[in-house]
Amino acid sequence: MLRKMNVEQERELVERAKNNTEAFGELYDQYYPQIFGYVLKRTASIEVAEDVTSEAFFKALKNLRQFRWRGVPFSSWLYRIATNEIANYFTRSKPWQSSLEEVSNSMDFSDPSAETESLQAEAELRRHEDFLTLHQNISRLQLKYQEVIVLRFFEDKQLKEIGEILGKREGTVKSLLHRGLKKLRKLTE
Amino acid sequence: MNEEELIKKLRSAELPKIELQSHRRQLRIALLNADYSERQREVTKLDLTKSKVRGGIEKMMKGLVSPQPVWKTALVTTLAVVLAFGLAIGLPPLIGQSPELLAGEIAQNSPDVMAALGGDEVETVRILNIEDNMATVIVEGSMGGIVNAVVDLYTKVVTQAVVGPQLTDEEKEKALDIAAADPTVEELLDRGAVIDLVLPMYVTFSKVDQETGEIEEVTETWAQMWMNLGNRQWGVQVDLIRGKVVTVTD
Repeated sequence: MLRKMNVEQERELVERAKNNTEAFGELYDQYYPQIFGYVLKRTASIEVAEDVTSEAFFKALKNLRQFRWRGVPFSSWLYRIATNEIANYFTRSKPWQSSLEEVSNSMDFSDPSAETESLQAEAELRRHEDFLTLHQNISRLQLKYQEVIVLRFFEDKQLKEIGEILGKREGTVKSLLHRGLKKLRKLTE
Repeated sequence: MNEEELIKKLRSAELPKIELQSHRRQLRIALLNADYSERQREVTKLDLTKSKVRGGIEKMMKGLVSPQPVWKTALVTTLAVVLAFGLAIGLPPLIGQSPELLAGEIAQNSPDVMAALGGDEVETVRILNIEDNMATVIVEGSMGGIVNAVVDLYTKVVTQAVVGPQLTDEEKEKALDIAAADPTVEELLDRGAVIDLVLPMYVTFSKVDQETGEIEEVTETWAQMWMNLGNRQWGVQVDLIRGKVVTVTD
């Protein structure tokens, strides 16, 4: 079980990770479950969640040296990268496709246990009918509403943190949430 | 349904709590290998820049002492070299030597490293990482001997020089055979690339027993090699167990 880090420990680990591969591994261990879980709740697909999470972490690795502490937790930065990658996936933009090909190639281990595990996970996901129904409706909303609703209700993030992740003011997040819920209500009726 | 009911529904939905150990493990390996290769590439760039600076300085000195003064050429060359070096590594040489170069120089001139190499000449120096002023350096001798050295950059002393683990000849041969059968490596070899170093690589991962569901930590020995072609270098990771090339990184 991974220890929960305080802000200072996290900051120290991030600084080390900029110059040390193993420290980046520690960061990855710390945040993989959260990021994978978030992407899965946004996409409701094991396969897509695997690909988008991979892409997000590769982006994080590439850009880690550019990360500067400005009072925003590192996890928010990762969530932001993942959110952008999800948006790329939904809009099927070229950079995501070409870059993903690179990631997939580097991870092509042809591990049969991985395939079995993905199939089991897919079956487990299908068991969450309520979630899937909600997701189906949420996915019909514009991305800006999907983002705030999932972060607020599925990831249990506060408005301030959602603002940090999305680079929006708290007031804007609040209003997006309000409008998003209104639209979602219509879709669920 | 009103907003409150919708919020209640959203909050009470049972969310999937799924973890994919295989994906997690594979992605970790891919990320760390990519990061490691990137760092190696940075060190190579530094080495190349360093040679260029040396070349430039030699040219400058020749120019300054030449019976037919070519000081203009010498000055321009020097400025160009300083500028190129500065751009390449963010101007630290104007302030002081970079930690990577310093670590490399201390390691390759250390009597302890020389002793560990058994009198063999130093052929390659690679910086694995630098943390808290301590650098981990791999020094390879011309006869294939490998020494893992720890350099204290503050005191400029090698605090540890240990003969590194190596693959057996059979493992090396197997790694080379697997690599040569890979289309990307094959293409590079056809273009004249040379494999200059084959080292062991230890990969640890968790394996789930499909019957008992128990998780077991497994460490495997793979091989990693470096290929050179002109000024370019590729890192190749070979899974010796499954007999395949895992990544080829430029």
